[in-house]
Amino acid sequence: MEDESLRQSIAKFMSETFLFEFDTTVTPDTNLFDAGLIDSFGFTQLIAFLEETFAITLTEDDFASDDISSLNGIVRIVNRLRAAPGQLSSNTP
Amino acid sequence: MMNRPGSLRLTWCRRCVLNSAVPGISFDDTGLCSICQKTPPEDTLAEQRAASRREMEDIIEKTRGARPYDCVVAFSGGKDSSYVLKTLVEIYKLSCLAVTIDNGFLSRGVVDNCKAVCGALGVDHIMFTPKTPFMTAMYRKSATSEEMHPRSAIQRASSICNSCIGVINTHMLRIALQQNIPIIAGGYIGGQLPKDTAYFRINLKANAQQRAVAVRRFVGHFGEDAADYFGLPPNAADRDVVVINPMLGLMLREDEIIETIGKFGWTRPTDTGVTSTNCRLNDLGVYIHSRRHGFHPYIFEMADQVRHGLLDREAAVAKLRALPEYAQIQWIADRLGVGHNEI
Ligand SMILES: [Zn+2]
Repeated sequence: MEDESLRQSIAKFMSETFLFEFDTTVTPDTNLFDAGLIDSFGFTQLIAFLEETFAITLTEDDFASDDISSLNGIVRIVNRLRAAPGQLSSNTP
Repeated sequence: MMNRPGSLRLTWCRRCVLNSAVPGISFDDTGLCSICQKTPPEDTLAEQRAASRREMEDIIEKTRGARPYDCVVAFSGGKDSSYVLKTLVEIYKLSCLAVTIDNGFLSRGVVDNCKAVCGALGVDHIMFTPKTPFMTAMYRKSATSEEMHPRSAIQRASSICNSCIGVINTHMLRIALQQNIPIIAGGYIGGQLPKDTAYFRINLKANAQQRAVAVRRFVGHFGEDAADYFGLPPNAADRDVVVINPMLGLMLREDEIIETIGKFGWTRPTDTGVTSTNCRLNDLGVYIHSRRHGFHPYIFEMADQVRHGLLDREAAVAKLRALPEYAQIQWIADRLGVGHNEI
């Protein structure tokens, strides 16, 4: 999956699940926790979605990094994990 | 349906009870809502539930008996958590610690129900009462503003309930950490939480960043005490805790649940409104939520029950229509210092 379609599929999940749109206020670099858009329930849903959709397992370093809090950061994490040896290939079309 | 003029021209799902007032819900040409469209056939769901139950049972097998308590149960004294406690003790043979949070608005019958159920099952029980000034401040703020929770939280519950659930969940985590209890069980039912939360592991290190932000927000809204009620001890990050919500895998009708726990002496309280079996504050949340958002905060769980044949559609609609009047909830608003014009 190319970067842009990966970004779009995560953005679509976020919009549908967390009921917000990416626009001039909420951008792909916005910290979604600070902005109050995702809480602990949402975080659990988001991680389940990422791990299931992209057949990856997030590491403690991923959770501790700033990247986990924004769309662009999450795209970076997913790309890195999918490129890493030992990860299963994506099960998305 | 709602007590709001102009909200009558709603599209209703032909299968469940979701309607076009609910944000994020759309309808196809046949009148089926987007959740019903995405819902797999019953046999697929049954397989998913069975797989989830096997995962839960696997972790139960591995942890049972290793510590004084296997499981801390968020036990509201309501029907669902009573049924959960029975299941954990009688079916899974877990040593449970039942914990009830007294939010200051528990039904007069709750203590009797807690004693009846815990007594019959032979379970240790703790009642924890957070500071009244803090709880009052939290409820007051939650009644008059939606800012403390994400927008998507309105699909789960009223703002008041979401705040209370946060206090309850954090307290269960604290007890699990303090007493080294490996499993936390909740009584959530379908539609209250995503289906994939029937069994999940909380990696506290993974959640630390998100939790720190949430605690800062709650301190800003509810005052310094919020750090005690929403935060975790500093050493918490080294631990993993398993959360189970067995009701998400048990497809039960309300009358089956009430008949079963009735054998312990559990009786339905008469002072909690239509949608709660333990809390007298609930109706204030229902009143505010339905007026503010145009849909009942229990619509998702009722839709889920209708979708899976656990509740008749007409009965669900009747429950959703039975909205409290201001005269019924005024005493709660007065006690919280919330004016009529604020809600
Ligand atoms: Zn539907």
